[in-house]
Amino acid sequence: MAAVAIRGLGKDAAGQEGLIPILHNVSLDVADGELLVLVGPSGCGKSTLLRCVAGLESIERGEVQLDGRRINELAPGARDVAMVFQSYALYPHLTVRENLAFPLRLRKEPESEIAARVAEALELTGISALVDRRPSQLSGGQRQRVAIGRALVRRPRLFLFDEPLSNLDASLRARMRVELKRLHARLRATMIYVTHDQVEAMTLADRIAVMRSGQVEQVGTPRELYDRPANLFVARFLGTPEINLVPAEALGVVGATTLGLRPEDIYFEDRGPLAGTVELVEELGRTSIVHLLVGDQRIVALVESPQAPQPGVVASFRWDPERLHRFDQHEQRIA
Amino acid sequence: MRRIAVHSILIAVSIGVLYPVLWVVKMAFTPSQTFAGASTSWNFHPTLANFHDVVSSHDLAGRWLFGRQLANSIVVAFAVTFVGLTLSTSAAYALSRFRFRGREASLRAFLISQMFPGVVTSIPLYVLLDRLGLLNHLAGLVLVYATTAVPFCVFMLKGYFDSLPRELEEAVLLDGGTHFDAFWRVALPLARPALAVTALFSFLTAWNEFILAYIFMSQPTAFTLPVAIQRYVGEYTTEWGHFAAAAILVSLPVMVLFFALQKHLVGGLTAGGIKG
Ligand SMILES: Nc1ncnc2c1ncn2[C@@H]1O[C@H](COP(=O)(O)OP(=O)(O)OP(=O)(O)O)[C@@H](O)[C@H]1O
Ligand SMILES: [Mg+2]
Repeated sequence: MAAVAIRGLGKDAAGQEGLIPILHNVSLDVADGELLVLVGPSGCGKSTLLRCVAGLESIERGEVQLDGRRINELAPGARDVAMVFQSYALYPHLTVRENLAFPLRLRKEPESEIAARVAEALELTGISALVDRRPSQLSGGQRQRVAIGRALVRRPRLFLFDEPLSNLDASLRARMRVELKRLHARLRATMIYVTHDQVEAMTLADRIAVMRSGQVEQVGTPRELYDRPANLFVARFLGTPEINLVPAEALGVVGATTLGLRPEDIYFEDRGPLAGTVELVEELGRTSIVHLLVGDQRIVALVESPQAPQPGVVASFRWDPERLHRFDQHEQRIA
Repeated sequence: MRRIAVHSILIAVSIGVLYPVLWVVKMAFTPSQTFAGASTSWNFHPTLANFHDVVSSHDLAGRWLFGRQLANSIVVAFAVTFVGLTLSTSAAYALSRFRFRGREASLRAFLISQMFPGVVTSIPLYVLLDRLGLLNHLAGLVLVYATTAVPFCVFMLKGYFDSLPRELEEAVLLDGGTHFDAFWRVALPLARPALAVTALFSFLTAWNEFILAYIFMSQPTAFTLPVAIQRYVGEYTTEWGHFAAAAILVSLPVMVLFFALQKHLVGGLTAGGIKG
């Protein structure tokens, strides 16, 4: 296993009007055995960053290190890195067993070793029953497992995942998420995992790196990012329902431009400092999402269902001042 | 009512298409060498005499011409297929996957070379082959046929390689393979349907070609079968029975090939490698 260090990574693409930066001065550290999740909106450069680490994209500026050694110039196959593609990229003309054995065959491992390691990967991914099928005869979830299995047999120093679950339906995604987390706990392998699903990011990550337009906005544990977002973008990106952002004067707070208030930090109380008309209530079972109109400002609250007011009434509420996020006019957090 | 109309049209078209073929078949099995004799009479007695004559044709020196010519055709067709396939698969893969100086130019050159009918180039080709001393040599024919087959095959295969997801080959690279592994172990096996079509095309180009072979080959022992068939059409008389029998013999392998490769021609091997 290995630690990854990315230092000042930059990459441009040729566009209509000259070069467009895709990655801009990206620096990141992934500790040995850590699962780092890269999140960000579509097109922010997550895949490109992953492909730079894999060696599938050339690096124009900066450096990628594996265990302290620069690997910029190393061919993909020499980096000892395995990647699971969003499209799975299984070899369609080979059976599941041959797909798993393929990387070992390329490395000319002895047959007995290949058989043992394929069996181990099959067992880890739970696809032993499918060995003689071809990819076209598998369901999406099964293909996903084969793709993961093909990465596992190599016992690489680093695993890269590019949105591996995005082609699966919601319930299967939830199941595979848990399995991946279990797998990571069992292998203690270093992994970089790309997703634009914030639930996946929050649940899987040891640490999350939030990216926007080719830059890393913030890195930290899920808790840190959730409790202390560095800027409005990160604050908005994590958490459902989305954080409430209101002008500071609306809540009578000085020394800040924008305030962030998580829906679950709002409590309905008879003598609360603010009141709003209940527009709509979404029942989720144990909890409910309450949509309020305070003046012309929309505010969303997440409360235990029995505490939710009726639609149409005017409800007063309070919030936890400790958990109020303050941002300046540059959208940055005020400590 | 509509069904009757549809069927009568279909029957009429079928007769239209099949009539000349049946006519040739009948001529081939009729011992006479006349053209009209084959036309209408229903009471004919099929014999294999024409086939026997064609197959056992010898020249004045006693050499077995048909055998020689059949061998010529086979050698030329297989050599063109082999040369065409090896050159065009590697060229098509490179043109599809790599960006290099001259890539656009060579694609355009291939395209332009396809715009002229082959006959236009026959005179320069004749001169070239003469200089190279390849007139009346099978190698000359192979060279000429391969140059006509390769551009088409390159386009055909490049289109196929373009449709293969890049990630498959990137997976090979990450798995520790080289670009050649990606080509040899993944792209090529997946391209089997396209290869089959390309091979068939190259083979048929060489097997059926007449004009250039007629121009470049003057010795009967160097003829390919299409040229040999033409020899039954004389200046004053035509041996229609022999002509028809030879024509059928030449088209048999083509039919066999079509049936054998049918499965691959339909193809669709990549299904399932990528999400779906
Ligand atoms: N070869 C290329 N040429 C030009 N622009 C490119 C190229 N590859 C990627 N880009 C651009 O780089 C940006 C980052 O792309 P990338 O695929 O890394 O995004 P992503 O974060 O993975 O998005 P998604 O979540 O949709 O997968 C995009 O704006 C994309 O348009
Ligand atoms: Mg991506």
